[in-house]
Amino acid sequence: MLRFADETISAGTRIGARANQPHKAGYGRFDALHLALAEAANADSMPATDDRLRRQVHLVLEESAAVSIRPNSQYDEKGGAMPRPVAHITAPWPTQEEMEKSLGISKARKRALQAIVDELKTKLSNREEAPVTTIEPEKRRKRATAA
Amino acid sequence: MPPLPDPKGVFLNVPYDEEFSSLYIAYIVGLCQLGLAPHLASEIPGGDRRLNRIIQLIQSCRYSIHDLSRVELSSAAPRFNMPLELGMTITWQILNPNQHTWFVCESEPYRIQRSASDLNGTDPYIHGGTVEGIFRELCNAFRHDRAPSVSQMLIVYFLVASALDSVFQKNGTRNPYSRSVFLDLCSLSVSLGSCYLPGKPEI
Repeated sequence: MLRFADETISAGTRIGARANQPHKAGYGRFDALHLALAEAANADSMPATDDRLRRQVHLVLEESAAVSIRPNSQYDEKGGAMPRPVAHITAPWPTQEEMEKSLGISKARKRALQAIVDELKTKLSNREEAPVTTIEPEKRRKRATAA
Repeated sequence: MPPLPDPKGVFLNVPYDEEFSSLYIAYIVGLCQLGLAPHLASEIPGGDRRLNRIIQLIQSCRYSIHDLSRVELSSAAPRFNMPLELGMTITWQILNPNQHTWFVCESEPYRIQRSASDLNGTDPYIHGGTVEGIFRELCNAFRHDRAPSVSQMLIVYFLVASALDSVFQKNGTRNPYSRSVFLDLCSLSVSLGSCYLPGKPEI
């Protein structure tokens, strides 16, 4: 998220005075200062994980406050999201043998499955256009069955 | 001191119920297609306490996926197993930050903020309860320049799912989460996935 930050706001007397309002209403010093800084920067929004802060901020700040507090989950990567964990896999692509070793698949198991694998590979090579469809979510399927 | 984790290993923390089985198969197919090796708690044999087995599995895997999409009440009792295993994983990851990465998956956006608000600040991967959604989110979480496309994964999924009855028959069980069926599903996914190895043209 810091990649998207290109403006620095310094806290002066005016911002300090403004921060006193939410602080007097019970917010922590840093939460209050964070809000006042966001407002001074004319920020469109401010990500916060603190539910209480999100719910009550407008009760403390004047209605003209431009800061809209949204949960982090409303941000996606395009909009400068809170990061989700991502694994960048740079290791060489494993061979089938390496995969089977990692999975603990024995040669005997593989042999026993060979007939099914051959049948599926035949299906794969004989298939016509890929039957790619969106599968209905479980809930919708259950509702349809119930109906 | 536990051994270094398998860099391809992914501990799969999912609900073991019939309604989830299509998504469970999707996880297996998707991970195998991405060159990763899924692991389930039920896969480890032995008489050791279940919790110990799960901890060993978490330690032996570089990644873990925790699907919290079905934590709702079932049979009048809430399902605590998935959040419990997620909590164990988070502790392990905090103690060993370079050895483990965990991912949380959900079917509905914003629900996790209510069901596990301590996770606020970590956005879950929302798969929408669909097989396609699972593949999409796996590709978002595990990024590889040469990963197969979602449509390729779907083709392999349909093939593996079509062989489910034969796999059940071979193993004498209709429980998709049993160790033998799980290993067969992995083996099928790897064998069929080799048809789509990176660099090979689409069939």
